[in-house]
Amino acid sequence: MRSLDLSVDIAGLSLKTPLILASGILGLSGRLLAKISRAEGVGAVTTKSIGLKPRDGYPNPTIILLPYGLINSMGLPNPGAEAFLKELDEAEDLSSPLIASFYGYSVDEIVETARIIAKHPRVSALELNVSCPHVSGVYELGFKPELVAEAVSKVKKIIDKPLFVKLSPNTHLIVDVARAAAEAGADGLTAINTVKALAIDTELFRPILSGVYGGLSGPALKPIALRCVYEIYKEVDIPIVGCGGVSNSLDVVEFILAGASAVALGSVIAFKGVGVFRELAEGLSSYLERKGFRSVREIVGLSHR
Amino acid sequence: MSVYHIDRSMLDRHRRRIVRIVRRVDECLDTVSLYMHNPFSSDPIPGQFTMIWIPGVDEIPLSISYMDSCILGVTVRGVGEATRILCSLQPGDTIGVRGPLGRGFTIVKGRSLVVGGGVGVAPLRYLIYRLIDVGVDTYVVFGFRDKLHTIYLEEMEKLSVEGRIKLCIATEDGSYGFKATAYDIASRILDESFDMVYVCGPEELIRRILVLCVEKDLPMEASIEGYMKCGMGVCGSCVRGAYLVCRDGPVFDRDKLLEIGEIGLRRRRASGTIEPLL
Ligand SMILES: Cc1cc2nc3c(=O)[nH]c(=O)nc-3n(C[C@H](O)[C@H](O)[C@H](O)COP(=O)(O)OP(=O)(O)OC[C@H]3O[C@@H](n4cnc5c(N)ncnc54)[C@H](O)[C@@H]3O)c2cc1C
Ligand SMILES: Cc1cc2nc3c(=O)[nH]c(=O)nc-3n(C[C@H](O)[C@H](O)[C@H](O)COP(=O)(O)O)c2cc1C
Ligand code: FES
Repeated sequence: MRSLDLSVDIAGLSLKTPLILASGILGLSGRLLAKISRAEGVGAVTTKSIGLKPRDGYPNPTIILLPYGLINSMGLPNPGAEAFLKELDEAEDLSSPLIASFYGYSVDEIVETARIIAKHPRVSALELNVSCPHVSGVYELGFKPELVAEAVSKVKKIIDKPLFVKLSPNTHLIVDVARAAAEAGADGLTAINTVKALAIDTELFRPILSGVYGGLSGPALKPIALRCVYEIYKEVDIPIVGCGGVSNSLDVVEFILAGASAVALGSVIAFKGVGVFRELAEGLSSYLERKGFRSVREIVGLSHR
Repeated sequence: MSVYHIDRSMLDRHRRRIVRIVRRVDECLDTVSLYMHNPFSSDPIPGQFTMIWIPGVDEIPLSISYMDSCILGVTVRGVGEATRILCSLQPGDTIGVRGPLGRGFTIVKGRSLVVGGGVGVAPLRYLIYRLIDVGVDTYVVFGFRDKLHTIYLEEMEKLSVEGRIKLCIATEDGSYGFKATAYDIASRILDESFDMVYVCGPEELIRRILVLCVEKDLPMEASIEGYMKCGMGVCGSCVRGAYLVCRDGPVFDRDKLLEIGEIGLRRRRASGTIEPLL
């Protein structure tokens, strides 16, 4: 059992623990999001990325399991912003903040989508996804600091909730994009989305995913994600949600030491189920106790001394 | 458990194995059984499913309808692009397979009622052989639209003649067996003497049997559908109620079916959009 208080405040949200459900992981259904929000160890839940219009995503195969992670090319399937509001109506008894992830193919579409989903009372914060590596249009946006800045400032003008920006690791400009988002008024950054990847079937001589390219997540991603968080923390002042390959409590600790104020869990849910939140919360708590700390805040960015 | 926390058996179940079809059997007008060399390293439980990959087309969920130590069988009804292509495959053609996936039926000793409608009989066929193997007293009720759409008829009648199951076939137009639905027959047979009721078929059938089993306080399990993508409990596409069909199902017990609530009333499309069924 946990004896230590793991609560954190990040970008105006109060979380019971620093552990967040990552976007695109089981996040399509209001009822399921609410159930996960009640699971022990969960600090917040993020929805699937929502666009203005419904999208089927790519035909299967959309996922590959490897010994070191996953490659997915779901292709952003979602019911569209208006339908998603009804989904959130069903998210009864939410017991942690809900972060609504969203995307658009242009700044105008991003602003329009944000306007629709931000008005739902169950949405505590928004996360702008400019980093999905298998949907062109959404993917390239995340490489352009000026476009991200424009989108952030326009969205911030029309919403009164915290805004996170989810960053792409598929560019050498990640710190520039992070800085541009922060200067334009973003309240937090989520680092990182998946790394663009490929797998080929050697019997059939063809790429396995129907979308050809996918995004690599899971354990293989962790050192890259950690490096990104570390670099951003050095240069940018707003809070960071670390994301990428977390599978045990020491991974969580590493991200926080690198500068993350909270940590999002994705692929590990496929390997361990939702019970992993509790396991990692307990592990984080015993780590802090063993090292003589009293709160998560005390170790944020500690590796930069 | 590997060093990366991705366990061996999960890796194994999700590896797409390219296999050759060794035999096809035309079950009826629009339904074909395909048999291939058993690609699985673990023994599947009846009710578990496979993801069948038709390269360049799609990868779709199909129940395991036959299994012995060397051969895996699926039974597919042509309803759209992927299933029609599967129905046209011949021995020698190749497909990709991963599995076995999901949670199957629980085998309960004593007396069981197996209720199937349409191509929903596919997972029940493998289940019936298992029930026979462990000595369960098995009553089978299968319902089809008409004689031209019956599946496994000869096979089930052979089992019935041999005294290994008790069998009742119904068609909606009476062109074979009783002129009734599977529900009509099941509702007449069902009483407290049954230790388990297994169902697979149209959701309307599942929903009505569920109501009956709640009334009579009988244990029940049904295999339901969800829109499968990852098949490994991460994408959320197959969600019904607050459960994942690929991971928590496709077989659910009575209480979970009640909790899901939406059976026969609504389902989701590929985009996650909810569509009403009634
Ligand atoms: C656990 C499970 C077991 C199944 N077992 C069998 C079986 O043994 N025999 C059989 O004939 N059918 C079975 N099905 C249904 C079968 O998967 C669909 O008929 C098939 O996917 C249709 O594909 P299509 O391209 O031919 O048709 P489409 O024209 O693409 O679709 C026809 C219908 O199938 C549904 N569908 C399409 N793709 C999927 C998908 N990836 N997951 C779920 N539904 C989908 C659509 O929502 C639509 O209602 C099963 C489904 C599930 C979920
Ligand atoms: C199946 C799947 C779907 C995803 N969908 C989204 C999405 O819709 N929006 C998004 O911002 N990130 C999405 N991601 C990326 C994750 O949120 C996360 O950034 C990434 O997987 C790295 O974390 P992990 O290694 O813990 O999985 C998805 C990842 C996976 C595996
Ligand atoms: S198909 Fe992805 S969670 Fe079930």
